[in-house]
Amino acid sequence: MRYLPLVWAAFRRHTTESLLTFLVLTVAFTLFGAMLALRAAYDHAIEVNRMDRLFVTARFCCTGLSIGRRAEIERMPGVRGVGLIDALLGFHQEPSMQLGVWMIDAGTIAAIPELRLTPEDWKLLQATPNGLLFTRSLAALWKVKAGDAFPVKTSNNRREDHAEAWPFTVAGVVNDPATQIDWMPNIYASYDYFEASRSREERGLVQFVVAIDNPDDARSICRQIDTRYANSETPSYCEPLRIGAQNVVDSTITMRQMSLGIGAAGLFMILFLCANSVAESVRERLPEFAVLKTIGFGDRQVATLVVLESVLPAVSGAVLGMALASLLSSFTSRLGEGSGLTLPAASISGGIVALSLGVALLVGAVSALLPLRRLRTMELAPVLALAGL
Amino acid sequence: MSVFRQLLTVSAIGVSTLPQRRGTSFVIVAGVACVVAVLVSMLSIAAGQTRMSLSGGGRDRAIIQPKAVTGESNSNLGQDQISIVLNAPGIARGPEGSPLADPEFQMGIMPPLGSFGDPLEIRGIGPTGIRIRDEFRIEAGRLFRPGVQELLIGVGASKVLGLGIGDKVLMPGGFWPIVGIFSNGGDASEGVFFADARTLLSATKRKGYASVIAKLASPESFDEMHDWIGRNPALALKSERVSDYFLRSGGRQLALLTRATYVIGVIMALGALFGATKIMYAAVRARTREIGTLRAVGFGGVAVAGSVLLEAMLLALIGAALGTLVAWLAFDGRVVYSGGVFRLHVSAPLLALGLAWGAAIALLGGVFPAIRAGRLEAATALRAV
Repeated sequence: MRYLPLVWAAFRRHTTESLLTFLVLTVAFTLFGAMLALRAAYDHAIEVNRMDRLFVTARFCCTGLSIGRRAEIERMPGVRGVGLIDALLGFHQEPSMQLGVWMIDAGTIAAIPELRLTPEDWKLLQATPNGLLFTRSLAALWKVKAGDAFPVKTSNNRREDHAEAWPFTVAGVVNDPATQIDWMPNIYASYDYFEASRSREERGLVQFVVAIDNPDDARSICRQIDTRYANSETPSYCEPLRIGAQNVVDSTITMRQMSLGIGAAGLFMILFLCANSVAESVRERLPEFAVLKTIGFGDRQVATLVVLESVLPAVSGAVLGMALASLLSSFTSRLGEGSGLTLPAASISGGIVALSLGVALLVGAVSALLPLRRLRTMELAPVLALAGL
Repeated sequence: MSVFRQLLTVSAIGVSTLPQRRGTSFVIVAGVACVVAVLVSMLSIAAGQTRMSLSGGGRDRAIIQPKAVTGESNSNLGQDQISIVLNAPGIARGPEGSPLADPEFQMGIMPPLGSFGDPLEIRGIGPTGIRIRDEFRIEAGRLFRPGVQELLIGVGASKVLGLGIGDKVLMPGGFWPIVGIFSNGGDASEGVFFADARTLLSATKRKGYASVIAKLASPESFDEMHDWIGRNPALALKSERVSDYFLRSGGRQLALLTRATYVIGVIMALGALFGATKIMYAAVRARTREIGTLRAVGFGGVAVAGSVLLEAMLLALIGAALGTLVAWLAFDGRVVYSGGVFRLHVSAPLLALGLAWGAAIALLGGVFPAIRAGRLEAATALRAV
């Protein structure tokens, strides 16, 4: 505490310049924090895709797997349940209003409990065969309520009657899922209705989501499934959902790959400024330090003073920077758009704050190194004489 | 002495003292270099993808697809609709009078058993498809034979996937050999495989094509064809130039990336701006005696202020040039995969943007120190020493 008045006096020496240095530090740590938070948001978006859920589709394009394979996969060791995972892609009203509808059945609801759908929800779909179940958040987004007509126009799943529009009606509003499967829509319809209405040649062809007991077995169970159907007319491709999400991130250029480089560039930028500011301050105040030494301040005490002058603005800048990064990070969810990932709003975790404070301490300490060396080797008499003291 | 000559003289004196202030000068150079290097590097992604979309003959060709689809992967085009489209006005015709248009489709093939990853993209095209791509060249090997299960690989895909002539790809019906490597004027198709459309259709049991690629009689005849397709009640189709289609396909994520780049560029610029202001204030303080002397011998405040701005500008431009050079050396021409294979492009407009960004930082950062320097009175400045 006894050093604080001296540190404050040094800050006040050139107030504008000290404030500007503090602002640079704040900006750099805002960027550093925001980039770390963004990277963490991407990692979180991958992590929420479960390793104990497997996506099974046809290895080669343009067809599905026979629905008869569901029972075969269900009997495999380590498999807990198999749900259907087929989607209608299209638009409502205008081509710009794109959406997808996920076809489910009672088995899907049982196999994927994280969807938080109940047997009562399934009964709703059975009571309204062309019904749609909207999750609460999507019902709010599309502004729909039970009983509304909601036609969906599509061209990837042709109806038997060749109509392009599927005449859906909103059957009810249901829970949001506990865990989002990234690329699957949260508007549900009955697979039975879908199967009865789609073109005859496409019937009975589906994709599966397989729930397994142990996430560590995901790769081996996938291999078992694919090996079983390797020589069939329609070989399968099985992939744990988390690995699929990781592939999505790795296969496109996203801010995730660049975030650390940008954060590092920001820190690199301040390192020189910080080091220069401390060096300049010490150089200008050599007589002051000489006086301090003359009146009994030891090397260690002078070093403490210089390190505090260097570290305190860096740490304060880091603290304010983290607060600003937290504000900035609330906008990051939009960066997931178009990448196939649902990116949550990034947040500044305790780990990020701790890392930033650590980096601030390091930047401050490194900046003080050279000036300290100069002070240690300083000859008192010439300095005092030159200063006229 | 005119103000301009005074400005030049004072600036020359200021620049001559830079070696004595090399530490502080380096801070501005390094700061601006960091900002500009990050900005230009990130924007080279969008520039590369845009160049890829606009290269080749994308303006001379149109893609016709069902209205409801978002991309070729979930598109189905009936034979009846294809027959009508081939008669659309504006489509170029060959010497024998047949339309230069090719029904095509693109599909994904999942990675081999035991591995996970992105699907390989295979495009089924016919003989007319090769003919209408004026830029199409076989770089090595030969063309696939009709009716035979063979593949061509684009130069970009070949580089990224490490596959070449003689390699085999697991496809429906067994392993298909790669018999040739093609280029197509640097457009997006260089990131995929080509196969004979009919052979691919029959192997995959696909029910139909996804789109029609048509060569336009001239780039201007697009509107005529577009209107005709839009007005035809028998068609629920949309048409767009291939270049526009490529731009739109990768556009949404690129737009977000570009927006994020500018946000980051502005934040970093703000940091560099505060830094430059701080350094220039310190420089003015360090040169107080010199400025006082100059004012005493008759140099005006405007010349002194201008010299401070010029010095900031010079240092920032050196930093910006360094930043753009680093970005150019590190990223220009680098082959990347992002929903397609393309090369990053540090274009001339990007280099100019980098320099302008640096100049703007210097201008805004130098203005207050310049005003302070310009207002220094000779007596006050000399007394302060």
